[in-house]
Amino acid sequence: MDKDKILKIVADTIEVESVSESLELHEDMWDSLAIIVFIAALNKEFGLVLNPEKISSAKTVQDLIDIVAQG
Amino acid sequence: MENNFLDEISEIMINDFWHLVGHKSELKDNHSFIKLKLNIKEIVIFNDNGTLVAFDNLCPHRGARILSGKNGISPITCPYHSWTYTNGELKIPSKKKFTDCDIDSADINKLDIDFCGDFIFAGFKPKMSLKEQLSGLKSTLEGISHDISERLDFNSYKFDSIFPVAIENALESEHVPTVHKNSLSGLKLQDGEYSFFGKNSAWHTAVGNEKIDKNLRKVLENFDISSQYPGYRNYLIFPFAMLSSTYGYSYSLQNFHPGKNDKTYFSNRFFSSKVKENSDFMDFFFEESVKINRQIFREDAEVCSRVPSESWSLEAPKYSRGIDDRIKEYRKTCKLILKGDK
Repeated sequence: MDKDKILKIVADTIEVESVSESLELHEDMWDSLAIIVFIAALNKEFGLVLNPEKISSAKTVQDLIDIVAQG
Repeated sequence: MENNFLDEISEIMINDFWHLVGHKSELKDNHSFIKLKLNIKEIVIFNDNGTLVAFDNLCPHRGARILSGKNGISPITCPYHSWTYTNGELKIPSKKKFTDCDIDSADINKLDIDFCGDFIFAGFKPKMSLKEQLSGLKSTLEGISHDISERLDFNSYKFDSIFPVAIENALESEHVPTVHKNSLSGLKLQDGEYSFFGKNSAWHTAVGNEKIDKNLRKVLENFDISSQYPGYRNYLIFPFAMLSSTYGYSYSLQNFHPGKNDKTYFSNRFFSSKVKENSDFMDFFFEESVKINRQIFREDAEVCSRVPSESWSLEAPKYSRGIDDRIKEYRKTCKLILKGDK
């Protein structure tokens, strides 16, 4: 899985220029809408359908990368 | 309460108008039903082996209420003497023993029923056709009804306020930043535009929170809907129903029915809209939306309880601004109804 693409999708989802792996996902930026936008984008890009509960449990961008890698 | 005219208005509204009671998707199964209270009356809609029937929930035998609960699956059997309505017929135990009466004419007290798309309306003695009552809102509601997939929540309780106070609260947005500061205000709804369709009205407005608005747009392609509006909208479906939605991704149907002792029988139903294949992850979004919806209406109930019945009148509010136009129109309509103008 292309890590840079995932970082780009996270950045697009939370409407910032770029993000780093260490960025902490706070509730005000990582709400239920952001989570499904992220999943929808991953689905479009990689054909993956991820579990929203798993995605919502992520504390950092690195956690997201790990979850996506696990498929 | 001081304003006794409210009882009269309630009676007229209950008896003379059609009421939006539900969506066909709620009644797909045989014996599924919805029950709504309107003051001392009740409306039940149920699935009788594929046919939707509306009645007053009273057994024609001794007048007992047949169904309890607000929705569910149950045969239409009176718990008192087991009179049962099924497949369009009333089955009466020991029927032959009823010799001193015209027992063959016994039937449940059916109410009028009509449809706008997949929305179900019922009425006790409506004075006009549903088409006339919905006026210019009919085609919009039809479109919305076809976008709805299923009911995900049915939440009901009493508002400690009279129903016009609860409805007027739903008709204005000025309270959103204070009453809903941790819920609906996050959308930063704009002033928007009001429109009127007979006694019904609508509010269409943009989502001012750019981040949320952009994200809402991004998931549009996951939905299989045709009646989409890129923002927030709500409709007063006169006399007692409100329908609201953000982007058409889900719908909240609220009924604000007159209740006893200056209360409002409130119910809110949350419907998801149709999603495309492989978009089941939207369920997560719907579940969160249900929670927020519940919070919003609790907040509304709390603030409405602060408005005593004496604070409401048929006159236009003394202090109002443009966004109160719907309240002015609503009160004008109530006044006309009281005068006998349907």
